Amino acid sequence: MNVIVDFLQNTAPLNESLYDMSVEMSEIEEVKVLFRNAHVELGRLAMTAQKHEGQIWTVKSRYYDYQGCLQQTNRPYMVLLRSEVEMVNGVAVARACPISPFVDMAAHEDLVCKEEDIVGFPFLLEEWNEQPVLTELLDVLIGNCADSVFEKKTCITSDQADVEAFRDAEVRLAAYLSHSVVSLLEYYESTQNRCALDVMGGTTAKTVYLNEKLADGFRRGKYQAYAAKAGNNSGDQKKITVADWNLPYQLELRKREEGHVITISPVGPVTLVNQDGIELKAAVADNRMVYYPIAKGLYRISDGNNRQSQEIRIK
Amino acid sequence: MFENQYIIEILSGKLSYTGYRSIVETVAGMARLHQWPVNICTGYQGETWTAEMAKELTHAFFEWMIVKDKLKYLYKIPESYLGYYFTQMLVSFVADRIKCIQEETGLSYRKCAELVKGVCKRDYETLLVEGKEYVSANGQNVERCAYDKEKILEYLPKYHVGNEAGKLKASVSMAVEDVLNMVGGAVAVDDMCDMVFDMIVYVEDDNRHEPVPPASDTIVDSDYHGIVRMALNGVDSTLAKMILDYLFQQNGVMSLTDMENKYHVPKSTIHYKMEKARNKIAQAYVPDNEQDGINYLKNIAERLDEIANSKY
Repeated sequence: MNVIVDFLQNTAPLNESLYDMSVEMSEIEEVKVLFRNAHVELGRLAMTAQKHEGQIWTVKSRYYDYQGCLQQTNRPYMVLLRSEVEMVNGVAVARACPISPFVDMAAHEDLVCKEEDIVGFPFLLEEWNEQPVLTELLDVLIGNCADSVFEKKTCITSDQADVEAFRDAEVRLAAYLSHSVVSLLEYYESTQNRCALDVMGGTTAKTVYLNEKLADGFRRGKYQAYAAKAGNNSGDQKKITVADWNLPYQLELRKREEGHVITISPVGPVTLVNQDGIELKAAVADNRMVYYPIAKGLYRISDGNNRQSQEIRIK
Repeated sequence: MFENQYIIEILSGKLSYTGYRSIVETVAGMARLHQWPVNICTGYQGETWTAEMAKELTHAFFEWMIVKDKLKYLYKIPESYLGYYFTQMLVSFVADRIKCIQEETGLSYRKCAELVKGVCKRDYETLLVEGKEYVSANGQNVERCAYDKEKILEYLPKYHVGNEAGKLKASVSMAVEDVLNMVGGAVAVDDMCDMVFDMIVYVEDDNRHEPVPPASDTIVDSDYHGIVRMALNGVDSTLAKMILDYLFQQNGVMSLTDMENKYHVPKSTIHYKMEKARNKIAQAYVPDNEQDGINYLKNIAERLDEIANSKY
């Protein structure tokens, strides 16, 4: 079995406690001297940027899908965006190809970049593994990559069976990326594009739906009872209220023609940041912070007092 | 996978006791989980990974990274990716080491047979007839096939393979196809392994085109000249030495293990080659009597001596 393929196929985490061993301080000193003499440079500036075709990004190791389920991977990804960002039902999506450092597994006509100064190592572009991905999964911008840096591999140096096994393993693992879009499409199919708010936490996000249709045809009394049970403020049919969910503030979401309205009360050192890392400006009125217009997507509310942050999704 | 925090400790020169232990335990864990061969650690044999071996592999890995300049552009890689990057490099390092060891030991008969059986199962139809496995290109009737291995080999090309594992497997595939086309029917898988092994020539340097030297005129008895030449056709210098050591016991009795240690060739290959050489020598000439047999073997030994001491 090829060592690389075997590594990709065995993704279970190691139980290091099974291999308890004693080490000597001299061994540690030896390693320190080795790396000291190597003069390794660490650290890179974190950048926020608009997503464009030709950029290489890392991917978050965990995200909540559109069903509110937490998805995680123990294998970090780097991807090359192969298309510009498109909006699907108001949600940003792009096509991306994972990149792999295992250039030895490249097959005939695979694209390989031998330059090490783009991502830090030579890499294979997995064109055959292109996936649609929600751009909210993209984490850190590594850099830009032009088509001219790639060379087509023109000879066979790896076994065909190993190459096929490598590709199978990579395609299977990359389902983590495309699942973000698959769950989006499944959500829209099952809810008919119904407005809702996800509040992330634990293994499943808490979801509250906007009771738009219930507002029609009900007498006020019946509506009040149902709205109370669903957690909505009965005084306003087109509003979601989130309170007493271990949050130090109350959160309201309303739907308007031009976008959504987020209201946070009371006023405090709270910031709202979108998925591109841009802090949004609020209008303050009646001890409430109002953000409008807000598009669908992922947001992070940071509370300066408690140094907590909360992720929400408007869908 | 390596923990990011401990990788950052190493890279920033602040490696702690906990960090170093975690790293070595990760290496040990991966070696056991993926069943890496122990001989990738220099000087070690056996099947079980120990703490010492894991430490040796870890240090060798670090040295390889630095010598190969794998850390030159490390500043490009986000900290959250560093642990996985080091894990990927470890896997590449081990793959590299295994490849080097395979190149040093050359092509083993066992390895070739494994490849042939893999190709037969994957690309052709195999059938079991009276307990023996046969392979055919299109399910042809086994009973109709008859072939002479030596004759077939005379008409088939040799495949020269060197350091690339992929080329070896591709060559094995082509060799299997050649044999099936030549036979035109079903071939016993064991025979297929023998024939393909003979068709694959492992080349360590550029002397692949050097011919075996013609027999000299200094053979003791010219009566045996042609017979000896036929019996030792295709024997090069190394094989001649091996035959002298193993079959003629020139340096005392040597076991397969002794031969493996001396020539760095797998035991299965040595066994195969020696059996083949023995059969060829025995089949090339049937002596009339005991003295005739002794003279024949003497000539064989002298000719082997000549080949062994030549530059081929």
